Amino acid sequence: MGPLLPRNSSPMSRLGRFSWYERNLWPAAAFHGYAKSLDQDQTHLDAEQKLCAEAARGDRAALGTLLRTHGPRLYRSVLLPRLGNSANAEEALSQVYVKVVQNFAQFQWQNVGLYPWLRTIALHVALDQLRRDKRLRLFAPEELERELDRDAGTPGDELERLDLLAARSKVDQALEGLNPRYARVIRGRVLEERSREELAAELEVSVATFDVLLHRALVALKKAIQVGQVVI
Amino acid sequence: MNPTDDKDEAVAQLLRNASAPTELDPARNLQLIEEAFDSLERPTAAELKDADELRLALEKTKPHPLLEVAELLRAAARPETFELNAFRTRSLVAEALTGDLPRRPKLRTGGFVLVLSGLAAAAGLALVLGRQGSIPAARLLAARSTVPLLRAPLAVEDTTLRIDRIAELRTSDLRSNRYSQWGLE
Repeated sequence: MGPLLPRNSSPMSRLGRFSWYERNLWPAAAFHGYAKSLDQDQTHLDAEQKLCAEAARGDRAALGTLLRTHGPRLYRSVLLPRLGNSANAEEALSQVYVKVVQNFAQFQWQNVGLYPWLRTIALHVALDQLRRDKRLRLFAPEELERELDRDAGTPGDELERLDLLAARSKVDQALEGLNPRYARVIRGRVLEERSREELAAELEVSVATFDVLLHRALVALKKAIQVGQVVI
Repeated sequence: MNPTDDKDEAVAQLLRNASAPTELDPARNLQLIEEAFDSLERPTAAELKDADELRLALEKTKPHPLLEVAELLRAAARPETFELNAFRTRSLVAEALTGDLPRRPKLRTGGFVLVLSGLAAAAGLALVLGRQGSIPAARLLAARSTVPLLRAPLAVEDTTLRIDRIAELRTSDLRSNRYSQWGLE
């Protein structure tokens, strides 16, 4: 597992990035051990294992620290790309936290750390949400089932990389099915967030025409997703 | 050329096109494509209005039905642009931590073990029973016969299909059991 904070930050600045809660409610020894070990995978895992043991004994601060450390990763790599918007992803993250709190006593430590276990719960929650809500989405429930089967012994960083890659592939696949000009305007405006003026000049059309082109492109993409053309 | 010759030539052309169609000139193809895009210069009034509303929506000043599609793509391709802020993270964690946390029960050791040190085997048994009692037994799917899965005969060349089918179902059972053990039914 890689560092949680940038490698070029000094030890003091790294400590400064912990919340008051973490600095004051964590047992001091555990906090300093955890903070110093961010650049050292095994030491980091050892510190996380210690936190997990404390959380399993009912230590609220330890469990809170673990959730705050891994929650944003789950949100960014698993929930948001698969559920498609921030409201749904936040709702799912909230459910993941509740499930973790309720079931943490059943977590058994493995050498790859806590993240793979949390990811499995997050995928499970996302799967339930996709099955329940029949709304526009890029991922089908069956695809999440396949992702759940990924080896639970895979380290967290690798899982995160693969999850992000799968989401980007989905987008590429969706755009490849469109008229290349439509794909170009969507990439430029929606994904790269370039200005309308710049893109209109590049396409040699007026800005008003560019707006119409983008509108048509998104209508075409919505139709393609709805008819299930975007399936791995 | 008289009218009869014209008809003959037209029929001959039809036959030639049907039996040996010629390739479309690439330049003409490009021209047709450009013409299709040129039609964009003449969007309807309703389409212009829709396009402008979409523009406002993308600039985050107005709702629009197509915003959902844009957000779907952005969430999958660039999730970092939606980063959950620290305050929201703390708030979600705090909500989940409200109430009593289930604890892994402590095992009885110390005096009890000292008094009964001669009964190590019994203590070991108590340890196992203690652990089993602390976590509710999950309802697990039992191993099943593969016979009902394969009632229809499969040809020899379909053996891969047979293995795939068994593997898929077994994987599903394994997943269900794993969730049950984690209390995630």
